[in-house]
Amino acid sequence: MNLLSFVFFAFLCILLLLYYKAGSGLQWKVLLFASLVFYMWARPVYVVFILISIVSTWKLMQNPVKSHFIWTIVINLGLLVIFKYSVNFGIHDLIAPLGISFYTFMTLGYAHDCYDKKITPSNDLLRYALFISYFPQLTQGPIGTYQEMQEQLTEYHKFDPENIKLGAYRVIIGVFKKLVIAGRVAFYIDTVYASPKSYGGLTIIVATCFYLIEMYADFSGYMDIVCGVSQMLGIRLKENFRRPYFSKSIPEYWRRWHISLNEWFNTHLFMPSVTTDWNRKLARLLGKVFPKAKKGTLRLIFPTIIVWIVTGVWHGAKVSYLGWGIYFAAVMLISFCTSSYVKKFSKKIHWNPDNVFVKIFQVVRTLFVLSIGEIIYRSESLENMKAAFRNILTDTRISGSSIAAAMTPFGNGNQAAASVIIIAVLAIAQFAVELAKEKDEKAFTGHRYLYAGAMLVVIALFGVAGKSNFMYQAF
Amino acid sequence: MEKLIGLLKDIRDDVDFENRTDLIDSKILTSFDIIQIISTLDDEYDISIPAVEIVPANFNSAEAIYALITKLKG
Repeated sequence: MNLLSFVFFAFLCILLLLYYKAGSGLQWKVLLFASLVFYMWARPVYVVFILISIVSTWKLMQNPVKSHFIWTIVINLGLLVIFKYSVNFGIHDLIAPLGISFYTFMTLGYAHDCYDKKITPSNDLLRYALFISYFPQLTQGPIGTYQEMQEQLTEYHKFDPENIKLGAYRVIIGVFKKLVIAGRVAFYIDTVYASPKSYGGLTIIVATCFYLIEMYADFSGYMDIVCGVSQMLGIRLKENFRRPYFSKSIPEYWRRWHISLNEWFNTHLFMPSVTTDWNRKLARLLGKVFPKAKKGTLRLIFPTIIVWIVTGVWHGAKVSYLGWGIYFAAVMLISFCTSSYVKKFSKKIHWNPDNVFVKIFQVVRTLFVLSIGEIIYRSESLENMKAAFRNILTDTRISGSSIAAAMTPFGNGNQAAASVIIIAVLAIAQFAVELAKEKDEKAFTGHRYLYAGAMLVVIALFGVAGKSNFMYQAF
Repeated sequence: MEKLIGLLKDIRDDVDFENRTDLIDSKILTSFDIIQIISTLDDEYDISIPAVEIVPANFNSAEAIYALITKLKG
């Protein structure tokens, strides 16, 4: 069910009515039923796979011993591999079940926490089923943890008009980001990245900057919609973004972008790898080669490589995703290995980290490093990636003709000028919207009606209606 | 305890390990620092800190870290 469709709007209205009419024992069951309806809407048969995952994991984790934990991993990762990766090898042409990458991670996280005795396994299959299938977070996350979600999902929520207003306001912000901002720039990016060899360096740089805007507006817009919908039901989802493009380093960026996925990797893959015996031994061996290196830094090397390759492959079985993972593994390692030298050097040249110009420099540097990774990620083939980098390095002159060339993917004449003005205004508007969102989250004050009205007008005037699929839906 | 404070100061000399009890909660230590700490403790105290013990409660203060070492040693 597409979140930007009339069907979803009708579904939500009916759900809200039934949900707040239901008594305390029934309310969460209404939510479970609605989640299954949502899931089965497009391809009813596919509910079988999520049910296999839910029932087997729940049953095995009733007694979370090692062999059961291994079986849970085999079943869940097995399904993920069958659907997500084997299609690339021509074994079958089945479409992956909706949200499989996300609910598999929630399931594995739950199993790992049970196995580590961080949580008490759920003794109620239906309550556990709601945790995995809760429809706002099912398709693209956020990847919630059992500790954070379980009580909220099953406790009784009294009708509160503030929650409905704040939730709806958040949904409007999300639709604005998706349809107006991401939708506006997507056409330009798609045109340039379809054939980067045909465009000059400046055009590719503009398309890459737009891509950063599109990714954020698309993904965080989706999160605003689902967090808003969930708030209407009285349930707070985990925030997945904290203004990531203001990060001063790449490690900081990854703590502020897709937060729930990165925390998942940190808890369930990175930290366990850091503390394993084989990693300790490898770090000791490396210590003999690099006797001056810090011991802790040596223990970071292999876990960082593993996590980033898995993160890349998690996006799909494509060389560009793998390349992207390797690139960020390298960037993170360089950042870890040089951090103490950079600190010493900064002290020597009297750089004040609180100085505004130093901060701006660090933010721009982070965006630059990030952009290189996104060129790798966005290029659809190795050939396109090479063409994009070649043209940026050899064909970037800022002249009248190169600027005119950079305008061509917009269309012609007035259309190009209008697009540039609209995107500039919208980028500023988005920043203002973000600030306003964070300023006063608790109360629905009067000025929000004005903001919401203004956003709805802009959505109606400039929204790109054909672009209703979200990027992360593909994962 | 003195030895521990010294080791922690070697990793982050700008942090008041004697008095702070919110090292993780207030984001004073990053995950990078935590890994430097566990790796130093593993070697210095001949212990092996498992992933399941890497929780905020065990790293919020020098005292909590000391308690963790004592627990793993015993």
